[in-house]
Amino acid sequence: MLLHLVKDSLVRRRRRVMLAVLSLLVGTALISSLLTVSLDIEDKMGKEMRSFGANILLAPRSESVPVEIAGMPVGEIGDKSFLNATDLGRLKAIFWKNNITGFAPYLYGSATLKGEQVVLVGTWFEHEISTEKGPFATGIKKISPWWQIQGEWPSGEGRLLIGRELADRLGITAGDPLKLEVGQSSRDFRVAGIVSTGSFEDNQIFVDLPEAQELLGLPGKVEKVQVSALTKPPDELARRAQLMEDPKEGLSPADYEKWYCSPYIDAITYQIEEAFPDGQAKPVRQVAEAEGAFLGKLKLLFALIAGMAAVTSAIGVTATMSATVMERRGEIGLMKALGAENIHIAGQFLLEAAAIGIIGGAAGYGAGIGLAALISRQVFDSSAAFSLPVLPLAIVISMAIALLGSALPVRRASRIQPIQALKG
Amino acid sequence: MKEIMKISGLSKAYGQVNALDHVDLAVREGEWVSIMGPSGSGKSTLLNIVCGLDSPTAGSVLIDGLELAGLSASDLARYRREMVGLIFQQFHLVPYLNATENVMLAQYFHSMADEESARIALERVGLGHRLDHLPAHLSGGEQQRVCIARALINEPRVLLADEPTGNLDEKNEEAVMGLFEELNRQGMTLVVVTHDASVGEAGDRIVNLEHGRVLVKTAPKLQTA
Ligand SMILES: Nc1ncnc2c1ncn2[C@@H]1O[C@H](COP(=O)(O)OP(=O)(O)OP(=O)(O)O)[C@@H](O)[C@H]1O
Ligand SMILES: [Mg+2]
Repeated sequence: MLLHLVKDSLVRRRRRVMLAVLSLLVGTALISSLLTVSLDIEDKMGKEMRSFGANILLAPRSESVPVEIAGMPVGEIGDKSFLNATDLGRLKAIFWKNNITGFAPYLYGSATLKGEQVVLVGTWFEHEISTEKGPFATGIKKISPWWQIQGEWPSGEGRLLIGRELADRLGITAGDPLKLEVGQSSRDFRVAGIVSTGSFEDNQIFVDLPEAQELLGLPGKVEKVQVSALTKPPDELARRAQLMEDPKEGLSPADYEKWYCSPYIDAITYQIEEAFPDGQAKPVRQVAEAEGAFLGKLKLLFALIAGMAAVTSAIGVTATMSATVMERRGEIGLMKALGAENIHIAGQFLLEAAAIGIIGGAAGYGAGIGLAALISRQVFDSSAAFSLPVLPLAIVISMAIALLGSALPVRRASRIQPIQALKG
Repeated sequence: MKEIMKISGLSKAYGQVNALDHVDLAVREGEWVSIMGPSGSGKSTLLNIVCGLDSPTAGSVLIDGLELAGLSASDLARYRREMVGLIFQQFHLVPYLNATENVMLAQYFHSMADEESARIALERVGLGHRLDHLPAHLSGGEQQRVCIARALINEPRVLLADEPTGNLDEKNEEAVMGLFEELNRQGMTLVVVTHDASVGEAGDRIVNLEHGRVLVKTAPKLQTA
């Protein structure tokens, strides 16, 4: 009987019901697409955030606290310790190798250019290393995509990048030849491009690593490596591990296993240090924290949009259900006169709302998948990860919105006095 | 026979208008009482209070030992579905439910909708051939008989009817009155509001209302007998 009443009410008012379904569809589509996107947003945003800079710094282990000025480790030459450029392939052999999206080595020295003392940096612009999975392209161009180059990235021998401020001061433009002197030796270069980063790079000169090694007399050496890794924001386990000297000792074996096998930034630096016994891998906390904060804000924004979508759909449902209640006033009065209690009446409308919710939720999920794919493609430039668990969730959410949106109309229905409804 | 309904000192005021003014009335079990009076005399008001759809300003209504005054909305709903059967002048059938379903609706609120017993109830009022018809496809008399079947389906203690023949032609009126007589013979208590003398006289007793007061009580059947 109940089903019959509900079905009939839905079918007879299908136009208006379609409106409610539509409003739920739009709301659920928005919510489920945001949900789908935010489920793998850490991954996606991680990739995106990697373009804001490397988040791990690998340097030789030293007794003293490393001091850096303008991104360059300072200390007596004699104190300097180095990593070997040939070892860097190990970064792509750790447990979370697939989360290492790129890295670039740095070797610093000082050189003379047009009589001025300048910072010379040897690095990889674009460099391919071989891994067990085949060649892997990396270099500074990959991990620092925000660098603005006027001219082009250096390729081939004897090409360099010069910082914007330095170039302006010395009146150098792209394409100019110039001579770099280090001690007794010197070498001719041509300016491939001028780099602006808004930071200390604007006063430095970048050459290909082997050329810097040769000029500085440090063959095969690297001073530090910036590593870009996709990480998972710290949770309770990660925070617990962070307080420990050595998580292997501090955590229970099961927890340690779980920690090691999660791409927390600390687990990745731990694994990098395993691969580089002479190295020290440190998370660049600022980047990691900025990332976390940004993700948090983004999620808050998503939640706000989703909440607004929910409210809007609920209002749509309220409008439809209110109209239905008004239209069925007489029937409701009659049912009450026949002895129906409010629960009988409310039951009908809530069931009706639930049915509308299910239809709207299922349709909204379908539309949401499309929307999520669109968001992923347009915003994150990748395909959406389809998460089927969102389907039941979408239906539940849509139903909840529909029921919530029906609360007021149902209240109104329960206040209908049979005697008045029967007269009118 | 025992009293099934006892109304005492019942008053209902709508602002300045006294729709009912100290009405006393007792109805015995199995009795058929006609309530008559001019338009605006308070007949519908009395019936609505007795069936728990309206509340009095003062006085008490005692039905089968149950005092209606002070009952909650939920208790009144239960009283309506369990103890009284209602018949209206305007029929008040649900337009999109067929005859059987309209009867089942009352069952549904009472306990469980049961198509078989709804069908039997309709056969009892002579509508065995109209089970699947929508109200719009039934004549006025047939619609009123569906209402009677609906009023009877939960086996009420009293049948309350407000102008049950007001919208019917003579032939249909006869059919409905015939049903009332049969029900009354089987022991059903009937309270029928009407301003139609011929309908009123079918009862055991006529209660005349005027300006909300009971005028004379006559017993037509006893007089003519
Ligand atoms: N809701 C209301 N508000 C104000 N006055 C009302 C209301 N209902 C009824 N009345 C008044 O109460 C009086 C009795 O009305 P009631 O409907 O009981 O009369 P009735 O005897 O059934 O008349 P009729 O034969 O026309 O149906 C009338 O004067 C009517 O105007
Ligand atoms: Mg009346």
